[in-house]
Amino acid sequence: MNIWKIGVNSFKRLMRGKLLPVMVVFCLISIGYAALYGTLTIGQEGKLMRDVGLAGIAIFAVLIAIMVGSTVVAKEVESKTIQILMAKPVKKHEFLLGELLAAALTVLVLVAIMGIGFLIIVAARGVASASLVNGVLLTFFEALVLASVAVFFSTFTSGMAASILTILVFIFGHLTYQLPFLAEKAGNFIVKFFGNLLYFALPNLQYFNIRGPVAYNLNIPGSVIFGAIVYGLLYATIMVIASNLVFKNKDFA
Amino acid sequence: MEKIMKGKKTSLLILICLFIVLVLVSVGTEKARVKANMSEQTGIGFNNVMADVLWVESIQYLGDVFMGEARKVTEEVAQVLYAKMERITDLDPKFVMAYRVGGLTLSDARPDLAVKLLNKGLENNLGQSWEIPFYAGIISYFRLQDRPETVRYLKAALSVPECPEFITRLLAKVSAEVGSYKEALLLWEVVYETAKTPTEKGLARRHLLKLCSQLISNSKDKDLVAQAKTTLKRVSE
Repeated sequence: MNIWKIGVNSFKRLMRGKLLPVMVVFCLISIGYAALYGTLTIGQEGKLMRDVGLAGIAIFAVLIAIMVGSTVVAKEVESKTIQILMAKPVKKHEFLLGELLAAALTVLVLVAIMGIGFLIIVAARGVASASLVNGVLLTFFEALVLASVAVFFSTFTSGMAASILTILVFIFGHLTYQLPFLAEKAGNFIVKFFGNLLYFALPNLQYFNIRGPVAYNLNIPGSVIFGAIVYGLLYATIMVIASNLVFKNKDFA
Repeated sequence: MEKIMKGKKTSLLILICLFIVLVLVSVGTEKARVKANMSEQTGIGFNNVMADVLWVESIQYLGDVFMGEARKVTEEVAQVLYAKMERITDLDPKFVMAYRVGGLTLSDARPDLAVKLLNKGLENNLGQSWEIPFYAGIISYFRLQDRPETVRYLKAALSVPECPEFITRLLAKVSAEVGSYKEALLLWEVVYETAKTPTEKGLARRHLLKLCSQLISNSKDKDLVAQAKTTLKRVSE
């Protein structure tokens, strides 16, 4: 019950902030702009709109996830409001899970607003397709993974450091496919082992990137989408448990 | 203290178990992506948008070229255009329009580069676009005068399910030109049998009559002559 209460309160606090709605509006403007941009090309208006729209949502969703994830716990710690909460009958893990719930809800609501806005715009231009929903759905799970990673970092560093570290994870998370290849080339057993370990330890964010095939209206097997969703949920759960392990040892007295 | 340590141990154990499950899910997802031909995406996930931006820029560049003084693709323009199309198709190998427009615009000044670009498109979109091999075939036929290559490209175009029927006629014509009479005869028969309009049927019939007469009087291949005689008899009725 405490988790839900903390989550809803933090969610309301996050939604009251001005920056997040402004980012959503910017995203919708950029998608609308893509519709005008498409007129400058030959026969590729639909693809261009779908590409720009999905990429716009992905960029803003990732930014929102990093901002929310790295500040949701850190802000409470830095402003010392956590000390007031800890004085009440609230356990540390309840506080952490509540804040994580708030971050996940914020990302979900904002991605849904951007996704619906995007689908309305593409439908109005007659270039919508059902697979676009899958593209937006996996973008949410990518943002969820990044938000959980940001929360994990914010349990032992400042909000700013957590943001920077999560941006690095985002970049490396899209380049992990190189690791097994490089490990294989190294030849050395230890390098090979650590290369493969790092490959599985870092989130493979390419699993959530189906924007290319979606923009071309190609058929995406259900196993690819289902696998990515399960992977995202598992990774986020691991991050939550790891965050809890670190957070448990913190003294806020 | 003991309780805290026990809780920590349980959490660590759950973490290890979940990590093992994550590895298994990761392997399964990777396999599904490889099967769906989706594992070759590179970069941080925004290559397609970069390709789109470059595409719009290239179209504007082409517009400036055609509206400018030269009003045609010169050697210098062809070099720039080829570099642009290479970059676009490196970022988005499925960008069929880039291969098509690039191939057609390069064909005047640099047909070799046009075919090179279209070959790349053919490799990346095998069995998905009949236009790419068709354009490569047309450029090989008219600009490079390479009949055997034309036949190869037209055959690749025909392997695409959406390929229009006229390419069968074209392939039959070019096959006869390179001396593949057996193939030409077969293709014209296909055109004749599948013709939907009297004009089309008449055209195929005329070609078959000419080809069969040629084969009967000139060919030394007995089987081919026999086949030509049978066909001639059938279309003459």
